[in-house]
Amino acid sequence: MRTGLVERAREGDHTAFTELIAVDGDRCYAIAYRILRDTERAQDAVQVAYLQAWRELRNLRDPERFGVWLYRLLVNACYEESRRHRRWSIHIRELPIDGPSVADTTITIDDRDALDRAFERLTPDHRIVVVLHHYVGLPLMEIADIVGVPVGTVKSRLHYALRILRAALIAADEPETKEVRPA
Amino acid sequence: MSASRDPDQILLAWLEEGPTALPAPTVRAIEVASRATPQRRRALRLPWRFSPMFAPLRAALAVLIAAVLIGGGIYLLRLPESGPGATVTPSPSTAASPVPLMEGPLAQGRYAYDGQGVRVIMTLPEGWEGIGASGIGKAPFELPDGVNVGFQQPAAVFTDPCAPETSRESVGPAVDDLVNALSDLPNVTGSTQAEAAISGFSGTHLTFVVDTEGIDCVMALYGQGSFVRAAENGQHQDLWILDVDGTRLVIDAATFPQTSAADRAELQTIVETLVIEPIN
Repeated sequence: MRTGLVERAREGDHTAFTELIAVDGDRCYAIAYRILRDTERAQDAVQVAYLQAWRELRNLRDPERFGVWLYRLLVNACYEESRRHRRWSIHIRELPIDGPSVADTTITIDDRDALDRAFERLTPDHRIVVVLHHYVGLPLMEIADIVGVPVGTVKSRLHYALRILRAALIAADEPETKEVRPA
Repeated sequence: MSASRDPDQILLAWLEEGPTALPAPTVRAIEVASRATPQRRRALRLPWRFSPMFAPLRAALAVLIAAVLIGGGIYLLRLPESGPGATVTPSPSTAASPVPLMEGPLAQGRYAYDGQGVRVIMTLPEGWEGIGASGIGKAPFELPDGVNVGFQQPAAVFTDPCAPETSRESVGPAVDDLVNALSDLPNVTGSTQAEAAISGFSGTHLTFVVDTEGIDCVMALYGQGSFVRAAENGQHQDLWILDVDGTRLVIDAATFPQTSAADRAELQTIVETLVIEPIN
């Protein structure tokens, strides 16, 4: 179905392009939010990616590869969003406006806080592979294709990022050391 | 970490948290902007190897290709930059519907901010850029000589603007609720307050200059969802807080000590010519 829409949109059919947004838009937004951890910047990244897609669609050789191509544009838009550093707004960590989609009781407030902070310290390179592999479920080979680096680089980025995130969780779980004085 | 708590499971659950539905205004913005954005023509692809051909024909073809390349080059030089990684610059017609604001350089023309219950249409001269879907500005946007304007619908203020993480408070929906909350801001000088009207909608015009000299503080003025408006030392703030048929709209302009007179004049013209429409 998507391939047919891509072919029609490639010929300038706006209705088909709108349907393509309906097919992939939510997924793209979910990915962008998880990379950027900010709803407004995620919306901006998705908007930029789709407009780029519309503009360049005629140069997409294989409509079957639209998904990978769109993810590549989205990842580039997320890089660009991460690169911008403006004092327009202050970034404050907080739950998204529409709240967590899943109220998972396995995560404590401390876990969430630890992961938020650790993830914030990761570079976009590392965030992207974590999200594409562990949230979207893409194989490393496909991530390498999207990001444009060798598979080995994807592996090492993922390994590094997971080490940081696991360490943050373990540190959050350790009881605070308190000095105990004998009575 | 106890044996029953698997960090990888926690990480996966944490990744699942968060929004998963692209907001409708963003979808609409993409649709409208794509209608105003032409598709690039399919790139010319020549075969990687020519078949043998008669020498004079080959020479004639070489001349033809050179002419096409030179002519095409001149044509492409006249086109806006494009390609993967380049910024998409919408080119709105002055007669057509305004294009939704978007990140990046904006061609001269009419643009729209679509908020909750309100639409703001602006006419921009050359040289302005979109800051997300709710702001415009001229580089560097901030200190020392930038300028920026936002269209906002704040829901919160900060009792301690230097510590926004711990002092967020909801603010009532009326114009006066926000005016009162912002009228006693610390670390500001030269505050003024006056009645104002833009595009037929009345409200209050607040102005002040942020003075955080010697204090390690970027002021948080107000919040809207995850967005928090920042103001730094020397920033001159103009806030038009308007009542648009029961919906509060803030037009928030910031200039800086070295913002040029020309940019200030452009800003004034943009604000004075805004068209505000209530929407359902």
